[in-house]
Amino acid sequence: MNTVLDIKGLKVDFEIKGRKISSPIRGIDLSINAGETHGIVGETGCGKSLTALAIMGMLPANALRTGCISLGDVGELTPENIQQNRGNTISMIFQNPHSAFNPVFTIEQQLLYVARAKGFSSDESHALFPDRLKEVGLVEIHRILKSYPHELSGGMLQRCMIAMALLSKPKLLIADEPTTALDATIGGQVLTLLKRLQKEQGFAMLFISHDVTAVARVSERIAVLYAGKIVEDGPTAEVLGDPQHPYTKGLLGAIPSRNKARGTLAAIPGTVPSNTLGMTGCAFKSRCHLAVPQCDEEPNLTPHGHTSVACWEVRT
Amino acid sequence: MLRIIWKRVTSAFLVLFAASFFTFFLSRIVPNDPALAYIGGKTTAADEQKVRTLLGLDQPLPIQYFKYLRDMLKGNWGYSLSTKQPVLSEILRRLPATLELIFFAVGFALFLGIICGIIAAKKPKGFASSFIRIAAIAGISVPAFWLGLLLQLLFVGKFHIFPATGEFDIDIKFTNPIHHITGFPLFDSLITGNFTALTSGLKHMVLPALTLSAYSFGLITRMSRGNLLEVLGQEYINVARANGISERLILFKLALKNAIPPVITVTGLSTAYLITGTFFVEQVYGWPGIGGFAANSLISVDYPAIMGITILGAVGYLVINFLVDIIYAKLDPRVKL
Amino acid sequence: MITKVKAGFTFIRGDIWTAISTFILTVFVLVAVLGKWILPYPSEGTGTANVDHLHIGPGAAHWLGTDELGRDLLSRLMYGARSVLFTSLLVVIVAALVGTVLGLMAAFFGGWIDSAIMNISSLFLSFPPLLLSLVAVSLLGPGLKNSLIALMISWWPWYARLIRNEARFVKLRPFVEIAESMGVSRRRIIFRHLLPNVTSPLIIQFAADLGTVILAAGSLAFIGLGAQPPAADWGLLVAQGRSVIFDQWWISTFAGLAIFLVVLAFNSLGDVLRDHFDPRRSK
Repeated sequence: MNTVLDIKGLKVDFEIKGRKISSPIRGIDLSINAGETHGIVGETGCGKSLTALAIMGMLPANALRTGCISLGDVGELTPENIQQNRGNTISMIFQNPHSAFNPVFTIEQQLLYVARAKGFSSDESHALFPDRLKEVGLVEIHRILKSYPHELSGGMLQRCMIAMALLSKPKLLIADEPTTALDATIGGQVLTLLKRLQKEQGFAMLFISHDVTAVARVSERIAVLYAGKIVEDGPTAEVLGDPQHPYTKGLLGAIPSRNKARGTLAAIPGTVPSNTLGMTGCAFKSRCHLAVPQCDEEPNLTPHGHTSVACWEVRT
Repeated sequence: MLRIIWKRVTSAFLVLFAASFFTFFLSRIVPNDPALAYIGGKTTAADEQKVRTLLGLDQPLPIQYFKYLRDMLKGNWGYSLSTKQPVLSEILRRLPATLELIFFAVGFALFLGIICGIIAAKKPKGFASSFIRIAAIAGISVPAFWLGLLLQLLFVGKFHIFPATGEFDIDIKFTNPIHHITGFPLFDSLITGNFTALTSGLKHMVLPALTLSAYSFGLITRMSRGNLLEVLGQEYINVARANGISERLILFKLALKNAIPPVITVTGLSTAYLITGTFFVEQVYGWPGIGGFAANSLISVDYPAIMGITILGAVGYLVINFLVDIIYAKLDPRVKL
Repeated sequence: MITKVKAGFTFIRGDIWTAISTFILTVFVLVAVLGKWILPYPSEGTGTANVDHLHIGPGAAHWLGTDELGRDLLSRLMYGARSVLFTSLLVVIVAALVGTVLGLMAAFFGGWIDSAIMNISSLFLSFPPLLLSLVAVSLLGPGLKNSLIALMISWWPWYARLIRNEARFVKLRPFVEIAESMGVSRRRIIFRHLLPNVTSPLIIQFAADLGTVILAAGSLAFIGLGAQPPAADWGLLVAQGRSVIFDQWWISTFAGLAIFLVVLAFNSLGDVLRDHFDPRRSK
């Protein structure tokens, strides 16, 4: 087993003038092996994107990160070494392909900037680009290279973004909501593409989305994130087929699907807490129908078969 | 491209038409008698009548206007009432000095303005940023004529660093006369290797150019800072960072190219403002350019000269706006001319 | 009421620079309004020469020195504040009024009225700023009244265009169509619906323009085409001090400084208002 990404005890706090104002990530442990995809699902505000930023070392200035993030052979990622690794051993693709590209430069020019940052020479880059673009399933490569972002479609741009991220053959690819802004069919194609590329190149992938179906399609393992903590983590089939945590059950129950019988969609009462500062115990307890007095103490992730669940009410 | 030029030219004609109509109209409805202004002094009624016929002032107004338009298109812009010389040649004679002055003023404003904008955008909350913001507002608020006097007071009167007035030291004409190739004095002295004249010219240029640049500097700094801040907050900057591109490259190449186009627009706008600014600055510094000529013409109500200046001003404004549009389109591929 | 005043205070206090600007403007307005009653040397301020006191620099008796006719400069400046403030107010109010009415009409009626008004405005605006004013004053003859008329003539198109664009934007919103279809009278639509929504850009432009007009009027006076002696217009005072600038530096310096500070304060205020009303717009 070749562990590429290993996160231990990741915590992120926001502070102003030395005073903590919120704790968006309250303790995450995660590891991903080479060639494997680990998905993170959760509602907006649970801390998914912040996790990605934390790994990339791109948290806002007033954020305080603790915990250990290490990457394969590189070792621990620190503020000192993160910049070399960015776009090199770790790459990221983003949600909105139209705003991810610089409007006043052509695709080729933007790829060139990235390539040069990795140490490719101009000539090497120009030889490299057509192949890479073909790899991500693009045709009319010459036209695309000379185009400006506003002249291309969302699907094309997303493929360019993937090509750009994979230029240096990274060990880890973080995908933050890559299909959310795309049409369903295009999104599906991008997911297939990502899986194929992963098989060919062998990188580990962290796939973040609020769209459970998308995550399910590409991930071997899924972690469910709630209020900055993982509440359930395990192989995809098990987490989705037999969810244990009450939040996971609620989340999955709220998804419209052809297989479900007609009826109303279940909704979880209440809303995700916006600020967990000062909260004790399980963050879900105010919305949970299983809540008991013991929930005033924070439950940790405990193994339950092949998955891990953070809930007192789940008997091992 | 040709269609754009055509559109501009037609609207240019409309503007010039309006300009000439405006000045003509005002000059004819006011109490001052142009004939008297031309002669200026003790005259007999017969002389006045002779002048009137000479200047065509006895014709009906529409015919006067028509004649005026026709002459203007032929290049005859009338004769200045004060200098008695053809207006067009007076203007063309003085144009180079003003153009050089504007060149230095705008160049300086752009250079310093963009640098200050970058500094203020990199650390928006810092002391430097606040200082620069205030300096920018000060730039647009300061009366040019006062700044000119103040600079003269300090650097000429107190510190004796710079000369007070004029474009060159007076004796340059004799000791190191400039060989005119392009007609632009400083440029000519540069390309003919006449370094005494060049240094003299540059020394004389410093204060007027600084004075004139204040307003542009303010606008450019403000726009640069604001725009750059907005650009730096965009998603594609984050993506570039995620792809490992250095902060320096991000700022100077990727962000700047996005932030610059509106700065160009603002530069054009302030340059147009500068055109009237020269009226005051050249007067204060005794600069032999159009501004001084315009100021004197306005004071002495020299109709032909005023009309000439107005036409020139409108034309200049049009040309500047046109240039700005072209440069903007070149920089931003999303904009179609 | 108390909460509004409190909100006003935090609004101002947030920034030391804003506080300074507000202070300058308050002093300016007070001096302009109280005028003659608070001059240190009332008779000199209003114009009486005092030949015994020529060439006195800044000092205890005359804080800013005396001018070329021996009059206390501070008094002259204070007396001039009134003219500076009220003339620029007049120009901006008239220009704003005319421009707003025309702009609203153009936006509401559309069609040929819109084209006519906008084309005329564009024509005026296709000249470098201030050029039209300068030419108009020159041809009308120097003097305060003519300079004000000239400024009004060149200022109204800005408002017409601004208001027309803002109003058109508002007009496209559904609630106006609904009002129209319900038979609300045209006048009501203009005043009750369009106008309130264009007030914020109007206010911002107004505040900034006050400063710009003061600058323009001062420039006209400096060049000799605006207020004439023995008026105490600040631009005029700068011009008068120019001939003796190297010896009696204080005349031009302080008169110009007054213009600078007041315009600076108005522009800062305009900025603050802009941030307050619409932080979306880039500076």
